Amino acid sequence: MSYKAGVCVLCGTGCAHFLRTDGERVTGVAPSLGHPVSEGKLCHRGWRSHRTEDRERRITAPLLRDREGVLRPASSYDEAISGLLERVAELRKQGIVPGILAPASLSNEDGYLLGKLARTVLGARVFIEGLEPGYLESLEALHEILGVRGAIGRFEELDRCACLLVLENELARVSPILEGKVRRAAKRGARVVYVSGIPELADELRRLPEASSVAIVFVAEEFGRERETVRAIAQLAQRTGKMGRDGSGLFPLAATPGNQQGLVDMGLRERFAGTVPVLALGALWTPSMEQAEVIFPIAKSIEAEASFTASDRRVQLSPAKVRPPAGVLPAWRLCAEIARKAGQGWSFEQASGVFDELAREVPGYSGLSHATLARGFGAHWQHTALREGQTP
Amino acid sequence: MSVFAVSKEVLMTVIQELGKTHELHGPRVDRASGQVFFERAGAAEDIALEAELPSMPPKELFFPQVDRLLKYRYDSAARSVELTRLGQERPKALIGLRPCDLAAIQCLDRFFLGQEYVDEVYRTHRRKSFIVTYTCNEPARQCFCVCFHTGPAAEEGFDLNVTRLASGYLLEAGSEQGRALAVGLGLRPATEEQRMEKERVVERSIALFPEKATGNKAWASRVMNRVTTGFVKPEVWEEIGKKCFECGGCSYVCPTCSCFNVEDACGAEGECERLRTWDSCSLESYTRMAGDHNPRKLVEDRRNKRFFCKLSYSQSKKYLRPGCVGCGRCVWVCPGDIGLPSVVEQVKS
Ligand code: SF4
Ligand code: SF4
Ligand code: SF4
Repeated sequence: MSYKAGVCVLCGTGCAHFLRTDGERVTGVAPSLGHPVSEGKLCHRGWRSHRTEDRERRITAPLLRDREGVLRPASSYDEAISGLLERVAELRKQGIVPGILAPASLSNEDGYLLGKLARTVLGARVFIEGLEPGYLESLEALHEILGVRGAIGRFEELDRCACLLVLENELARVSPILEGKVRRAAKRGARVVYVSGIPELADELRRLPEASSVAIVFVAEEFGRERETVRAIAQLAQRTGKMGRDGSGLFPLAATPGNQQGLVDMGLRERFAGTVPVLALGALWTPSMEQAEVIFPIAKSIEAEASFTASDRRVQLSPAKVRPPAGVLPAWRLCAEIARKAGQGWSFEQASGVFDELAREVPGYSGLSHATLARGFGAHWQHTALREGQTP
Repeated sequence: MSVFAVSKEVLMTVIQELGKTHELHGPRVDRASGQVFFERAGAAEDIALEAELPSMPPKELFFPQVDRLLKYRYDSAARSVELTRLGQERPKALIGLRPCDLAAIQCLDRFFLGQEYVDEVYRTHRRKSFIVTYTCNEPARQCFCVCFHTGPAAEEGFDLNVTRLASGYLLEAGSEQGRALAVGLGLRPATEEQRMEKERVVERSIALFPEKATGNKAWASRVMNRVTTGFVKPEVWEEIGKKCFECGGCSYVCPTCSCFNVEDACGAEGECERLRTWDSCSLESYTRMAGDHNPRKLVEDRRNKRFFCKLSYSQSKKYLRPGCVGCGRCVWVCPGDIGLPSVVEQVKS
């Protein structure tokens, strides 16, 4: 029985917690007092993150559709992988790009290797179930205007900024942790304004005193529905000339559970929209998996050492707390197995090795490693567009 | 009271001796974060006696976050239920419990065991426990035990109480089983001077509050009077209620909070477990009844409930002391900054 450090991935805030385990069971949760963003607090969802046990829906063995079209447990991983490779080859012969369905709960390591497998081995497309449309759109809009597919600044800027603009008050529902920071900012004398939309935001920014820092926060689920809106927010932020400076920033917040920012960073940006997948990966059964040809179980995030990226680009390491069910692999290891079976010489032994490669390949992640993330509470990936105080 | 004086080595022997008959539990400092947890210890040396107050309340040992009560499987064909009771008695020794947390366990004892209905589940966890408290030589930033008379030294309810002296430790036996253990090990009785030294340790600790315990000022007696007699304006509760995000954290980390829920978790094959889980009066679902009726629909009505529970005399009658022991944990975890001391301040002004 002991508490082990971890990261809450139920929204983009990136709070840290401890999970208490008793053998292979998770039996409790505790907040992390020293974490710079969550500062010892959790929201109602976070306080229940030890209650995710969902035994009814757990997948524990690979399933393969037989020639009659019935999904049956495969006799081994080998059989399931061979089956997968055959079907992928058939589809490609017919000129069809195979689809892979995966959940938004994948870690950075999982997402990176799945993307690589799809691109370089299977010639497939990856669809993520549970990727938040508003967040995706928001990041695309930020990328168009500011050149960064992510927040400008860190959530800690909210503790320092002189002026804080919150688009709508949905923040209290999505992240009491960040809303708490906003309210504390008001208490320490910062100018805090909840604005309802673009005109009001523009007005407020016009009134901004020359020297003061400004942080803009919005719930992406809400505002990202139209890319235009976020483009406008980004343009207004850019015009302040303060983005990238201390105490300033622009923060879209993901409200949906999962590694939203991390998967976008790893290049997995397609949402699942009903295409029939050849392969589905998941720890828990979902109706969308039903039509897949092959289904592989994967470990849950608490069952494998892996990193996750919060909405402010903080990359955090979450060690394994319990073991996955017998035979179940983390998604990255499964991808490596599939690649090996397909004749690729991938040699990843540990999640940290996957991360090392990802750090070389994924823009902004360079210089990070599991060793650096293990110190303190992770690290933010660097956006090149704004590096060294450049104005985008 | 039998009082002994021991060296560090002898203190370790006492703990090791307890380890022969009990599971040892005590403070552990998480290496990476420095955060303290009260957990099962492999050996006496693993217990960090001097560590700060554990971040989660030791009540977990007797009233776990998730407690598995029983297992059952319903066979619908045979229309029968196969039922197994879970949870066996495991004698636990709590080593280095801080005085406020001991007072909290006494509250829980009175809640679960001291009323008309005796809670067997709690009793099973609690019955064979052995409690070794540890005097606080100085307060931490968040402490306000002195306002609720629970610290900085435990006065009753322990089996052994340890106080660090300039050289060695003073060991006070507070129960027959504590005394028997000490006598059995042939511990040396303390001198008058050593007993006096402990008194000075406590006095100095109290004197350090204004300087060290700067995080909280909760001079609660006047406020208890107001809360009890209903002399708090509704606007004040409303103001406090508006700050609550309904996360439940304050109840979970409070060493005296006892709200719980009972739920069934079922697997694919029809096998179910009945669980007792922590709950919180701040959550809307806590008082919601069938038909969606909720006597505490408004967040402020739920919020003031918690502070009645901590601060009113009517509640104190149940615990035989105030429901707050001054540990300060709710201050750490509240995203709305309405930990108990801040509420005391708001009610006062
Ligand atoms: S605010 Fe988000 S990250 Fe923090 S505890 Fe709640 S769901 Fe988890
Ligand atoms: S109300 Fe707060 S300070 Fe008082 S005992 Fe509970 S957690 Fe500790
Ligand atoms: S910790 Fe604070 S925000 Fe959470 S339920 Fe308690 S009073 Fe409300």
